[in-house]
Amino acid sequence: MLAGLFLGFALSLVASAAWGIELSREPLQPIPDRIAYDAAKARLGESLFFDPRLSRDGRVSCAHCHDLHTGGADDKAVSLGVRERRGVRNAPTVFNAALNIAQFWDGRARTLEAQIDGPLHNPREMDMSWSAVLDRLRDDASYRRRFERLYVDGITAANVRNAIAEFERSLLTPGSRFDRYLMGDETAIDAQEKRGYALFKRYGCTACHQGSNVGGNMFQRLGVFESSGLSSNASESADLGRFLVTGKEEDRHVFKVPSLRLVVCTPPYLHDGSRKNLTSTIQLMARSQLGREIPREDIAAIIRFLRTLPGRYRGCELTPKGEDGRCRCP
Amino acid sequence: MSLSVRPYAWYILPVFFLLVLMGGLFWQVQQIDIERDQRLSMSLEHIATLDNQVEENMLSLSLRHVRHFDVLGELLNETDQVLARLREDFADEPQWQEDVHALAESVRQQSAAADAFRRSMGVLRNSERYLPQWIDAYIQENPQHREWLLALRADLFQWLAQKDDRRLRQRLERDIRRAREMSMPVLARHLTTILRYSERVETAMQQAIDCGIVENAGVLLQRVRARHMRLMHQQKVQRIWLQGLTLLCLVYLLGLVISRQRMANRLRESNSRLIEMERRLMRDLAEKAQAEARYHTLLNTIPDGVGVHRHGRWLYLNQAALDLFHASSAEELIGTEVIERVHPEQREVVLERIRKEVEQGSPAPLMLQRNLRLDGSVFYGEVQGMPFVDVDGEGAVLVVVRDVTARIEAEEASRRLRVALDQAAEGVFITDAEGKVIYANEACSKLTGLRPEHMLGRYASELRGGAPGDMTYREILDSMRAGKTWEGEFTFLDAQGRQHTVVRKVSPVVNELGEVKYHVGMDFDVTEERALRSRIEHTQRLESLGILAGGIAHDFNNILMAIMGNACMARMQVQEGTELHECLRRIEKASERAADLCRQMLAYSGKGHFVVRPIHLPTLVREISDLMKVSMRAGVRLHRELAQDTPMIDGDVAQLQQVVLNLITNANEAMGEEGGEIHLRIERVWLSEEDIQRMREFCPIDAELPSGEYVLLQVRDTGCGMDEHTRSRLFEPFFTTKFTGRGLGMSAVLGIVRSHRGLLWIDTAPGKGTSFSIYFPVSAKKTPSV
Repeated sequence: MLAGLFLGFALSLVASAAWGIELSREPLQPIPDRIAYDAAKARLGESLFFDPRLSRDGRVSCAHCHDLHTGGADDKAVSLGVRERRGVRNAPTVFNAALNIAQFWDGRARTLEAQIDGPLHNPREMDMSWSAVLDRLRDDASYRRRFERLYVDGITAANVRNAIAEFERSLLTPGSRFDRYLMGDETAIDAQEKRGYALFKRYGCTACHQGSNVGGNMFQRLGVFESSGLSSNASESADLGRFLVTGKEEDRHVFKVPSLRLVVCTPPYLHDGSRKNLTSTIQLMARSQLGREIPREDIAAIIRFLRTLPGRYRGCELTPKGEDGRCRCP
Repeated sequence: MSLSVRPYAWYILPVFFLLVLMGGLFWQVQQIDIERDQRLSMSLEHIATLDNQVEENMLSLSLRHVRHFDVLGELLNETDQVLARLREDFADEPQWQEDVHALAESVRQQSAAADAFRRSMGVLRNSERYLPQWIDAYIQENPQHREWLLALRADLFQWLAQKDDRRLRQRLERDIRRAREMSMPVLARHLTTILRYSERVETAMQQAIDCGIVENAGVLLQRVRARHMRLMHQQKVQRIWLQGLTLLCLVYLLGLVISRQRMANRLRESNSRLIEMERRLMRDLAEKAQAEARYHTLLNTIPDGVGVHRHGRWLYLNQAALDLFHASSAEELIGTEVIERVHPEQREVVLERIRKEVEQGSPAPLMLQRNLRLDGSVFYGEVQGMPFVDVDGEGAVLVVVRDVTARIEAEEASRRLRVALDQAAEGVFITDAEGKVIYANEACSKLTGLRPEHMLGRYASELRGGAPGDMTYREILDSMRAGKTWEGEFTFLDAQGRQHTVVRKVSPVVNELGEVKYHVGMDFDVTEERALRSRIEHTQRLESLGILAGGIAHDFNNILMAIMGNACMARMQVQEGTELHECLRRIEKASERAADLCRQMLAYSGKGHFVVRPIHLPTLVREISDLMKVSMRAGVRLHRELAQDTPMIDGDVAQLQQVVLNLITNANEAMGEEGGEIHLRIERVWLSEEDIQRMREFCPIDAELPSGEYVLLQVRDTGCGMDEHTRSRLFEPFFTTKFTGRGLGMSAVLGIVRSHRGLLWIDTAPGKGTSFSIYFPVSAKKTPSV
């Protein structure tokens, strides 16, 4: 018995040495295959997510800005809402949003449910009221039937929020090459990518971009060391970040650290979409957040590493495809 | 038996109160939400545990044992969720809101501290990692500052281990200034960052530690536990009460069940008795119903009408009564006046009778009553009223009506028949099958000369002078048995010795079984018919004789005239006294006698020489009787009572003289040797129609004679009289009792009387003399011819 235990311990040491990675010591963690959600409600939420009737002009659905076929976000610096109105911040990906500490760049919504009111009421986005939304949904016999089957009180704002949130909880991208690597598959990523990961850690990107979502689990001030090149012309107030939520001076220019899981799929970058490519963004981040420069070859390596992060959604691998490099999925 | 049962509520009421009490206690026990306190305790313990885990995680992060914030985020998230649950659970307990707020504030502080910690850690970690590298790089670039830079590195690491060392911190701040002066901005910047963010991390961690979650959760936990204990105690006490009450209730229910069981036993016994009683009752009721049905059927099947009335109005009528009154349904009569159904002529009597019945309470005698049907027709009913008191204690009258119309009509018919039979000329009698008389009518009584009651019970054969068993009796009986009518004629003597000739018809009366029960006999008295027929035959014979005689006499008289004339002329030519003369005189004399005979014959036949003129009969009779006196026998005295005031009659003198002559001659000759008396009498008499009819039957004449005044010529002698045989043949021509008689005298008398439209009557009996009475109608003329 004792000999068996010893043997097991020895084997685990050997295995650990063989894989060369100890997950608990790693700043990045694999995305769980699934988090708890109600599949039926998620299906209802999916219908709502794609339903443009949730906007005033009937043309803007949730998917309008968070296009699941292109990595859960659009390719615009700021999205166009009803009547082509321009938003003030870059639309983040909806994939893995359930893993975030909070929603929106400034984290003003603690939960997915609370987040939904934001775009719905925003005159630059969907520009709707709940009463109007509910009226439209109640006119639809199919919605009436589905809500009545799933919710005791039928079609209500809370139930619409919940259904959409349940759908969003299903939008995880597990099974990335990097996650497989983390789980012990040494061959899941190549040496360059491994080097990129090592550089990513060595430069200290993981100080903020860590966890299973490679970010999204903390707030950070943009421009710790240098704030030049960070202010946007689009909207000055949008740059104030979490200050707009808490009103505290120390929260000025503080934003939720964005997830880098699908960063290769969702240019442009930063809260205002002011950076078109990753290289310039990483350069900017190095200067402002790390207080240093990163050589271009290291940046390229890091980008190669970043390309191993997107996982799969409904069987489709979310890796950049085609000339424009977007992560297209049917 | 009587079974006293207390109301059920008396037994149930205590159970009800106990149940209400138990219900109240149970409700209170249920109200005590021990689980909620347990839940709250768990949540509070959980939030305290989470707080510890957050602190542990932050420590691990600060020591770089953990390199990502996922766990911290999850812990904080879970803390938020637990707090939300606690807020919800404490929402209805305002006394603890302050503590809950405090706890929430602690969580908020922890969250803020964790945010600051993560933010600062993110920056500090890199600077700490970069600085040694940069110091090494600076040493290589600037070896002259190697000592300072090495000292700087040592001071930094020492400070990082002992952050409260103010001397070290002042030295590091000097180093930062020197680095800026020596154009090492990156070094200065990161060194500054380390100093600043280290403090921030420390502060954040301290804030997280001092956030007070454990303390505030502890306070709440203590309170919750205290309340929990209190509630547990309260619940325990209440449970004991509840158990006690339940026990009490069960004991009571057990008692109740036992008492109920006993009562049930008693009830079962009573019930069985009741069932027995009910069975009997049902049987009695069934019998009663059967009896009622029987009575109903009986009442409706008995042919007599039965009705009940009260206060003069019908209450009930059976079917027969409805039929009697021609009512199609009882509704037509129920409630109507009883008296309406009585014939108006009898209503007073009936009302009086009903009144008496009701007053005396005893039935009135059976009454024959004329009743009215609904259609107004009348029927006879035998009515019997019987007053009674019905089940309601009210008086009523039961009326039984029997329709006797048929009987009454039959009786009437019978009475009519009896009267008819009694009035019938024929003798009608009824006998039994043996021939004993059970009925005989008046005519029968006349025939037999016996009162009807004297005939009853006697054999019919006895009444006809025979005897049961004689030949006629057997003939009749055989015929009856054969169902045939017997008819026969016989002669018998009645009780008075009168002889009757009877034609009897006897018919059998057969009952439904074909047995001969009675004989109906009918006696036709043909005595007079037979006599009359004989007389008519006699008369017809006489008339034939008269016609014959008249015809012969007339021609014969003419011949005689020639004989007499020639004899007279011859005698005148012959000498008187000669033999020839004598012969001729004898021829003349014989011829006169023959002529006389012819005259008599002509008189009888009514064809004689007839010169009618008014005649005073007394004068004529006196003259003749005077002439006759000389030729009368010795010892015969003639008495004359000739009323002179008699009216004239129309007649032929010669013929009337002939009549007187013949009668006196006969009377004279009827006297014996010893002599006798002859009475002549003439008087005026009054004849009624009956008298005339009687005499016409005795001596038929053709002429119609009215009642009125007649002249009677009576010749009565005291001679030998006549027997019936002589009398019946008296007027027959050529019938004579005299040795030398020619038998034409009385025939001539009859012929003359008939010719004079007169009537003739004879009273005679052997040895009693004979009286001839002749009635002549009075003449219309007054002047006598004589």
